[in-house]
Parts: sequence; structure tokens; C-alpha cells
Amino acid sequence: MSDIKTYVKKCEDFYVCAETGEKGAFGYEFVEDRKTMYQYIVKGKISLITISGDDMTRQICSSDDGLIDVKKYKHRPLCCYADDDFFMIGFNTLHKNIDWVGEIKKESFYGNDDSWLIVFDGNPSINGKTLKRFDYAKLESKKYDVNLNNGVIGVFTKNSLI
Amino acid sequence: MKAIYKIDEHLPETTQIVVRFARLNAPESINNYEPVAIDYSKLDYHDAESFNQSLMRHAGNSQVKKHEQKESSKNIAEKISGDFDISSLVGRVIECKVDISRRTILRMNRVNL
Repeated sequence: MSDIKTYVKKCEDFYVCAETGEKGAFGYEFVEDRKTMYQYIVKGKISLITISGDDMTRQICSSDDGLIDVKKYKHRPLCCYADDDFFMIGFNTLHKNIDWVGEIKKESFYGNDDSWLIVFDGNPSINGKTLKRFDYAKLESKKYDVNLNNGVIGVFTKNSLI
Repeated sequence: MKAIYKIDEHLPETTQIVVRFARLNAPESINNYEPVAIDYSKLDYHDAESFNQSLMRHAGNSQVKKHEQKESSKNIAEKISGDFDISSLVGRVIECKVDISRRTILRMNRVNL
């Protein structure tokens, strides 16, 4: 059994993680590390497993699921098991009492000052600028013209204090 | 554990830097630790965090470990293994490893739109 490899970057208001592993890889996150609010599976399939007393829950997530809300696992110990070779990106809150709302954008949209954009896949073009995976930008209150080019972009807006 | 480094010299013609490493809480000033020459062409310049990590992985971690092994300790510790009984540990000094995070820095690029 191999380990899941984890990459992390703290950005200004949040941090992004990426995890990759081969089928059968296993990983775990401690309570204090688990601040992930949304996950996007770029490739493959992974099980998120929680154990509480005698109960075990398993959520199988795949690349067909789009942006997955995983707030229910925040501040809970979590095991990850790779059901297939996988590559997953996570959006994490910096502070446990700050909530975010995330969505995948497929068309042009209006931004606001509390939002950030992250490229999850491909080379989408936004306001005429071609981006690549892991490019990110702070948004403003203006229109953003999107040409997806088969890319995937997520927009995350700071919601409120929990 | 936190470490520190100090670049004494930059030698661009040989792509080398002369660096001293120490633990942040080392018993002596970093200036008292021997410097080492490092070929920085193999390091990661993507950003400051990547540079720090690659410098430490390339040379710093082993240097700091070497210093630590040379330093005398006032503590005498014992190793334990196998069956565990917490009450038998009371009052004893036990040696263990500091858990090193296996996380690597993700390369993100901020852009203006």
C-alpha cells in the first residue's frame, strides 16, 4: 500500500491542496488539518472514510461529481482510500470560523470583491487571458468573459462567519 | 522543529552559494556553525517557499541533523517498543522522532484578470 502524496499552498485568504496517489494508496488527515470545504477530482476515484464510535461512513467521489461540498468532514479525522489512480484538488478555509461558497463556472459571470477564481484544469481564457491549472486570481465587481476551452474553473466566495 | 539559514556568499560564476544552517533554537549563533558551498542550479526557484524547501531538502536538513548529533545533551533518554502500558512510562524519559510533514508546496500562480 502506497501513501497519498499531498501538496499545499497557502494563498492570501485560503489555501489549496492537491493530492495524488495510485490505486490502493491510503492517507489520513488529523482533525486540526481538515479544513477542506470543496474538492474537485480531476482524475480517478477516491473514498472519504470517517469513523465515529462503531459507525463508519464511506463516500466514494469520482471525476464525474464536479465540485464536491465536503464541509461535513471539516474538523473531523478523515481517511482517504484510492479506489483508482487519482488526482484531487481541495479548497480550504484558512480559519475554521470562515465559511466559503464554491461553484464551477461554465459561462461568463459577474465577480465580487470577496471572490477568488482558481483554475482546476485545462487552459480556459478569461477576459482574453489564457490561464493554466493552479493559476488563481482575486476577483472584482466586474464582468468576466469566460471561454472554457474544455477547462474547469472554480469561483469561491467568502460567505460569512460561522 | 524550525531551521534557519544564512547565505554568506553568492558566487554567480560557479552558480554556488555559501550557506550556514542551524536550528532556530540552536544553543549557539548561526555564525558559529560551519558554512557549506551549494550548487544552486539544482534548486527550485519557483518562489521563496519552494527555494527554502529545496535548499533544506538538498543540504539543510542533513546539516541540521549533523549539528544536533554533535551537540551534547543534558537528557538521557531510553527507547521503547512493543507492548504499551502508559502507567509504566510515568517518570521515564523516552526518545522519539519529531514527525516531519510529508507535504510539498503546491505551485500556484497569482494572475490579474
